[in-house]
Amino acid sequence: MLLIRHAALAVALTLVAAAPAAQAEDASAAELPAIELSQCARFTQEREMADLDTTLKSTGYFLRRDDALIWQTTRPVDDRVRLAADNPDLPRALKVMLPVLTGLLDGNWEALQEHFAVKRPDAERDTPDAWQARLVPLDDAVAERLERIDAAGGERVETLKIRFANADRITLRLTPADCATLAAETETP
Amino acid sequence: MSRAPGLRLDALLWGVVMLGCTLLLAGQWLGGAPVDTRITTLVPDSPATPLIERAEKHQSQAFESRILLLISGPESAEKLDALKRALRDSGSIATLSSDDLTRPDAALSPYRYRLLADSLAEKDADAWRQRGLSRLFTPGVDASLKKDPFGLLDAWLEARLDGPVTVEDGKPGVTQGGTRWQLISAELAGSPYAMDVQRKLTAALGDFEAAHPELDVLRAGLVFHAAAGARQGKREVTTIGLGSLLGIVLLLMAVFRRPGVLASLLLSVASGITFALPLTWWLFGTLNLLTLAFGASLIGIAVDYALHLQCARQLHPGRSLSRLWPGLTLGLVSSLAAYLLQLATPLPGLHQMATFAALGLLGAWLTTRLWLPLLPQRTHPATWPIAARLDRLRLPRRAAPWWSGLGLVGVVAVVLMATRLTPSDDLRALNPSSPALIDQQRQVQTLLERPGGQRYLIATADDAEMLLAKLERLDQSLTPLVEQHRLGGYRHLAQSVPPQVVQDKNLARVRDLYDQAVPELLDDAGLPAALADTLTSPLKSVPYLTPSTWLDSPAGQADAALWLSGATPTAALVLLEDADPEAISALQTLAAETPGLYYHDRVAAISAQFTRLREHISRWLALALVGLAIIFMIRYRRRAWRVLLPPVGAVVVTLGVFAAAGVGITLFHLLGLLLVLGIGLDAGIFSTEHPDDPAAWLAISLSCASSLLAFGLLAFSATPALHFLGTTCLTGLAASWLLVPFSRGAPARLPSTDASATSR
Repeated sequence: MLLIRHAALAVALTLVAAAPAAQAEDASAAELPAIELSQCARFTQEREMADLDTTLKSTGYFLRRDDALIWQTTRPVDDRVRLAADNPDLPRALKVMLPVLTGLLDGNWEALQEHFAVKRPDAERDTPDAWQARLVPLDDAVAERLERIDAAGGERVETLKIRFANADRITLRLTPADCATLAAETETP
Repeated sequence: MSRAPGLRLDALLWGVVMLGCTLLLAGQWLGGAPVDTRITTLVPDSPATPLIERAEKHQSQAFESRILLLISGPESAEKLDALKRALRDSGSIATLSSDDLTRPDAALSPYRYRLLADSLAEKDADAWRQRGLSRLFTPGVDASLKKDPFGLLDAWLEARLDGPVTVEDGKPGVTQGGTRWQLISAELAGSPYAMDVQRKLTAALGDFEAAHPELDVLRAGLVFHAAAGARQGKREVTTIGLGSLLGIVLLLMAVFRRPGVLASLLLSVASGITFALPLTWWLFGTLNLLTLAFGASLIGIAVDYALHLQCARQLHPGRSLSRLWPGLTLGLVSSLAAYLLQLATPLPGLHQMATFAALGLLGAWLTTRLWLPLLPQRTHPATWPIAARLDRLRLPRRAAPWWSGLGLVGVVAVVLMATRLTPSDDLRALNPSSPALIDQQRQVQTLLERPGGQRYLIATADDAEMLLAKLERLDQSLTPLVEQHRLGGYRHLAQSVPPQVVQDKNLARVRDLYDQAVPELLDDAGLPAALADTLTSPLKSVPYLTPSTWLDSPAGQADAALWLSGATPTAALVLLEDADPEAISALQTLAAETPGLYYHDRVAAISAQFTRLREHISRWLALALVGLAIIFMIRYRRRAWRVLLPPVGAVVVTLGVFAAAGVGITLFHLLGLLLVLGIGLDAGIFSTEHPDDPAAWLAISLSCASSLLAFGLLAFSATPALHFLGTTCLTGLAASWLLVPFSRGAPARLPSTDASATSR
């Protein structure tokens, strides 16, 4: 009895991104641009906080290490977060968003289509070097937090605009970087 | 046969009584008079009883319609969706709670500044600043700098959810030893006892398992046990039940060959029940199904009276029935004495059972006495030869070897009883669920690190706030037990809703840390210092989180079982996980020393209850036997042993057999012995009253055989309680019947002595 109650609570509380595997009819995986996996990149991030009417800018880089994504902010503060499902310190909401984030960075459309309807707002003008895609959550639980994600790029994903339900926005601009250099920077912070 | 006007008047009066009882019963039935299935009503009232009843009821309402499924194997994540679809389509599931889309944190949002997780409370301002920065610059989080820059709510929820359930690819589950188990939790569309819910659910799961034999499916939930029990019950009703009914009808038809005789036997039992049911219901206010079930089986003895009467009428159609009444009356008195003595015990459950059985016997006896002689009688020529052939089964004149054999059996049985007989009050032995199902439930509990909570503390206080404070104070006693690994863990509502004193303390600490960490956080992030006021303004006025607010929220509904509101005194449960004996004794001491705190162990309580019932029944039964022995000695003098041999001998032999087989005696064995004793007494009385009458011997044989068919066949039941009752009846009734020839003695040695006895 106790276990049922507890599990139900746990499930209810952790389940923010549980999505039924309904496939988006908007774009099939085959029609979506092939994207190379970004092993690492430098980023600039702009977080627009609607309720404070403020924008927070930061720069840094990310790189992959084992199963984790090391997210290193270098300015304005030095902060490193290990983005991995087994990191107990991650906020719960982020843990369930993790597959989305890695799916975006990997350009893994198939994985993303489990959670999002992928639309091509400008499909005719898209080329393999310049394309845009809009991801709208399929699942109410995700939609409650996340309004949509706009991705754009060429060979790799170059910009990600995440629009949250509370009107906050995050814009990420990614530029390819030499992984070895970044790794060295990581070793000697 | 005389049909005196007085007898007709009595029969008419009895008819009026029967009609009255029928009307009373109909009124009770239609008026929805309460029926009870609670085992707690069997125990005498104690100060905690109403509380325990409230707690039990509350618990079962909260949990009984939930199920949990765990699935592992190749591509289990993909196949999970197929199972979910199948469950939804089956119509047996109301909601899949594991797909619950409600965001739990929304409900707690206004209260977050009063809810401080230990992990954050212990950290200093610098750690808070670092945490705030990390949340600000990590992508993917809609961290609200204005509302919760330090993630108070995240930390609170994290602490509340410290369990093995994780979400992978949006699917909840547990990982153990490299195996990923997908989790489904669901709410049933109806009662777990509803047949259609059981059928649809087990069919959907069965089909899924058949289609995916490569997957392991574990299930937990009351409905699976209920469904297995119902399946087993159904199977046994059709095999054992129909088998015994058919057997009895065939047996009686073979002997009497007249449907009218069969109907008269049924009439006497039916009127016994019609008499006992409404009166017991009326006397006790409620009817407990448990006591009713056993009371009803004890009424089985009632068929004896009608059997003796009908056998006498069939075999001696011309003879007066008056010679029967002393035996029948003594049979009734002895059974009534055995049952009514149970009224002297302090156990309400036994009172009801005894009253029901005694009234039932009285009703059946009165019907036999007043109605049956009035019914037209046609004998069948086949009955006499059967009785005559049966009558040849007697002890020979030189019966010394037989008596020696009997003596040997008796001595061995007594020695075995004295040396090897053990009682058994282990509830697990009575659990009707299959080992496979119990094992699955246990595996689910282990995987989810949540052992089944059969133990709890009930705390009471004058108001909700005092109760929360009391619960919180219990932490001081309970936490050390958990840390010493004596107690698996515990849950109470104050963990989710801290008392207001603690909420005040939390808020003070949060304000303090905000004052220190916010300016630095803004400075490090390069944000204007003026934002500090905006960030700290929500802390000025923070509402208290109350139990009702929490329990009404979607996430808090899962805690509903912990809080017993709506009646005085306000009470709450502390659900306890596995505890070792030392922890149990510590918990008991804690409850004994704390006013308004009660410890309850469901399994132990029921076991203790069974022990008390068993002890009481044995003690009063022994006393009843002594009393009866005295009555028999007055009436039969030196022949009194003949009356006592079949019932007492049968009990001794049965207990000896159980001792030899190493079977622990449970309450259900004892209830079987009550039946054996009742039928054995009737057999003893009639074989002593009419030692040379083939009619008495035929009636005794039919009584033993029909009871054997009715109750002895229960030995083949897979439901432990029924199996125990059955094996007892099987052994006891057979022994009782075999002992009757010893009571009767050699032919024509003892002439019938009761020709002078009259009934009226």
